[in-house]
Amino acid sequence: MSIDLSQFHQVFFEESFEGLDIMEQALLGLDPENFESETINTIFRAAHSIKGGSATFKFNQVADFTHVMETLLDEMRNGERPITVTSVDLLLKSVDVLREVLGLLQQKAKVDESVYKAIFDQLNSLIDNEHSVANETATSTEEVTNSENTTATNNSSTHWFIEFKPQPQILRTGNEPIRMFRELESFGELVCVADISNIPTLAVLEEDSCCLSWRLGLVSNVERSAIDEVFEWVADECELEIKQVSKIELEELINGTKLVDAVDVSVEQKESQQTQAIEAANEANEGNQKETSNETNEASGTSIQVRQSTDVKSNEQVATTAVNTGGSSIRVGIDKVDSLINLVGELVITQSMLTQVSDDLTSANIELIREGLAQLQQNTRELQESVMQIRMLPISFVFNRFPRMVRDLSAKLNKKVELIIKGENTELDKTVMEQIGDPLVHLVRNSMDHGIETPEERLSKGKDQTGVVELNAFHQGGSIVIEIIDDGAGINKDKVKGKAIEKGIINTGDELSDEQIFQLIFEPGFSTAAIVSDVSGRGVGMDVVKQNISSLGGTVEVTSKPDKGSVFTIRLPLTLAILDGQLVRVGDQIYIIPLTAVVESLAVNPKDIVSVAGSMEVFKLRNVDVPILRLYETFGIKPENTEFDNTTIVVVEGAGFQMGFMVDELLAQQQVVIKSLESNFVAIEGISGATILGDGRVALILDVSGMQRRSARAKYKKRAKVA
Amino acid sequence: MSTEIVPLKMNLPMEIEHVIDSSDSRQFLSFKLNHEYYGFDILKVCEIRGWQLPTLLPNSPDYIKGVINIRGNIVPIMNLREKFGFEMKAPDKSTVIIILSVNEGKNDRTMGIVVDSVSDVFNCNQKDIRKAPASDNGLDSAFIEGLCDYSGVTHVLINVPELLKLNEISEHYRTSVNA
Repeated sequence: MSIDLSQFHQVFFEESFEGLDIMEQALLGLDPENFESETINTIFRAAHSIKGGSATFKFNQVADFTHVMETLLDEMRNGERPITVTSVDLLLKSVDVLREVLGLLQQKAKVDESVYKAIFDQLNSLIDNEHSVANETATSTEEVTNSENTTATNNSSTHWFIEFKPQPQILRTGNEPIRMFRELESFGELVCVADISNIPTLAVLEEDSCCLSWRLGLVSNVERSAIDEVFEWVADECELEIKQVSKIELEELINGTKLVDAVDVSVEQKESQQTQAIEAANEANEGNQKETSNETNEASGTSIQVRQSTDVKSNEQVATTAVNTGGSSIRVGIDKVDSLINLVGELVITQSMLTQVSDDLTSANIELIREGLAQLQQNTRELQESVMQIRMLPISFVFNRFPRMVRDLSAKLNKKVELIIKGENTELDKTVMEQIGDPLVHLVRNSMDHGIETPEERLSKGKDQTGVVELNAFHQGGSIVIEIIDDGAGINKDKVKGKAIEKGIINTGDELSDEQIFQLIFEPGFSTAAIVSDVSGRGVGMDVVKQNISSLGGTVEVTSKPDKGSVFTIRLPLTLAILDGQLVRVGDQIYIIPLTAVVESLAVNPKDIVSVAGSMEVFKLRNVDVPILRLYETFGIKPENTEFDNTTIVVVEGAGFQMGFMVDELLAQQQVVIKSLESNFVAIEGISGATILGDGRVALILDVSGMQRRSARAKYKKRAKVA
Repeated sequence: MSTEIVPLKMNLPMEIEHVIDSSDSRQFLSFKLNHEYYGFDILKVCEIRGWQLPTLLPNSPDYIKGVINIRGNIVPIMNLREKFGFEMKAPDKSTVIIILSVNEGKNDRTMGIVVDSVSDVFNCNQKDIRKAPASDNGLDSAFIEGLCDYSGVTHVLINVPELLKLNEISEHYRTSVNA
């Protein structure tokens, strides 16, 4: 029986990484003075699952490593080992090592012993030390943890009691109990007692149903797994009980049948004690396993796995080339899939209703058709929403990495920082999520490095010596808002201004509002940290943060009060796949402007247009000079109108300033599905993608800040030419 | 009588086998451009569509006519006449868009090529493909895989992956600023 186990590798790795995350979080939440045993249980279960999985897939290094971790955890769980900061640190380091080893294995790379050796030895020595000190106290549990070794190394036999009650149809599925018993016999000495109490009278006896059940006694040094394997094919067609018992118990259970025993009495005595311990261990293990599987089921809400990969071929390719990114699948709650199936059901009903109506197209039916179409529209929208839901994941996937980071960083910076996470269940598109992680890390590091003061400073300011960094996520309108709040020193406006002047970002005489000053920190090359550290201070970071966020179609704002702290607010679209757009027409082309960028649309009186420096047309909108961009000129298409009388100006805002797009006509506002131009072509500045309109035509989606950059460059060039 | 039929039956599968199996035989889609005949490797051709007006891409090179929607995919359209520097010709009834696809890493990339008309599919042995004579006028020789004869006419076989390369196009966008 050979199954290609490698097909399950990806799932194993995903689950293991999840397990490691769980362990890490639980370890971080482990307070040495006041811990809950449930927390240790959680860690233990995660370690146990990884151990089990890795042993199945023959990743022995991982299995051995987690086994040692498990030993340590087990002692902690049983209260035989105090939970100390050092041991928690060591376990955290072990988690890191495991992550690295699993990562290497996932890439099918060779795992060098040096990767894990140091931590492995530390773990072992920690356990051994404790043992030599507390050898006396660790009696039964030591045996428990070593049970596997004992069974594997012990040459003397153990006693197995097996009760096998097959269901009557077992023979019909081609399973022959005698064959299985023969196999058991090959392990060692087998005693077999058949229970014939269930055999009916000859009149009702069916020749192909099995009315027998058996009690078996096996004396052998075989492992439990081997016995399980014998019954593997019939496991769901019978009641099966396999347990390790003492010799006396076994005899009792077998009903007085004498077992021939090669072992002499004194050994036997010892052995029976041991087997009892092992039995206890096995029971405990079994219980654990059950718990673990329950736990994972609950945690994922009976989740199923949905592969994102488009075709089997590419999947295989990914598997064979082994450059696995690991992010190729997502877990989706079964309720989401169910609702999807329901919606598809409704869609099918609507479709069949429409088909039926169309068979008999009379004017009397028009109302029915209209109704059907309305229903179809509703169905489609719901379907779309619920498909989008599948891509939505709680933001905790991103937030979960922060407790560890804050812990490590606060130790490094000698600051006391408490991290508060709110709204971790807020859902966000997976793609957005993947790209927001790094900017968030930057911002949190920044808050800890620049924001939060040292404990002494805080005390002198009359604040609690422990600083607070808060991560908060919530939905607002069609976007998700993530706040990073700290109660630190706040942004020093004068310092920022001084630095900006020094770097030549602004001029000495410039009058800036607070908001404008705060925005300066997002300028490239800007950093106020006096010393460049590996935490922050290289002046790259904040501008990258801003760039990443705006490439996702989001914005970042900052407010700050001296000695009260700062708040960074990130606003992101919920999804990157759909966009609310304003359709506009220029000549015979239709373009889509993202609704989030549109400020307003208006007709401008030609008299209000002022030409500036001969290269720019500007009009005043509520005291702001708005430059006008003639879209037809920029795109090189033939317009319907070139005069301001008959055109509409769409005022858009992006990259911090406003601009008026001159278009021939405003069309509808609608949701459009974003299609990438780059999948078959190259990126074009000013165009963020394309979509397909109701009539099947392609319309381009404008990228407002890209257009602004582009026109700024064009103007510069124009001016250069003139000069 | 039956002896005449049997060899026929035997011959048929052999012939098919010959077409499919022999590795040095290739099939080409023959098309016309400016009174000349050209060929695309048939394995690179996805479909042939009638002319349709594409959506303009701003500031693109002249030979990129825009993008069209093919079953939800946005596919750019290249006019081969302009790409090869021939005289422009207004699309007519026989104008077609040949949709080509090349494999690039994990994904396939698709592009539509506008040609005057398509005529035939023909077989050609690898050994019958001649090297194109070097010349310093006319087409960029990188686009030409070779020449071969079919029904008495010389066909220019196009190197499809080379034709579909985007380097030149992205260079165009990088350097052009609308001024």
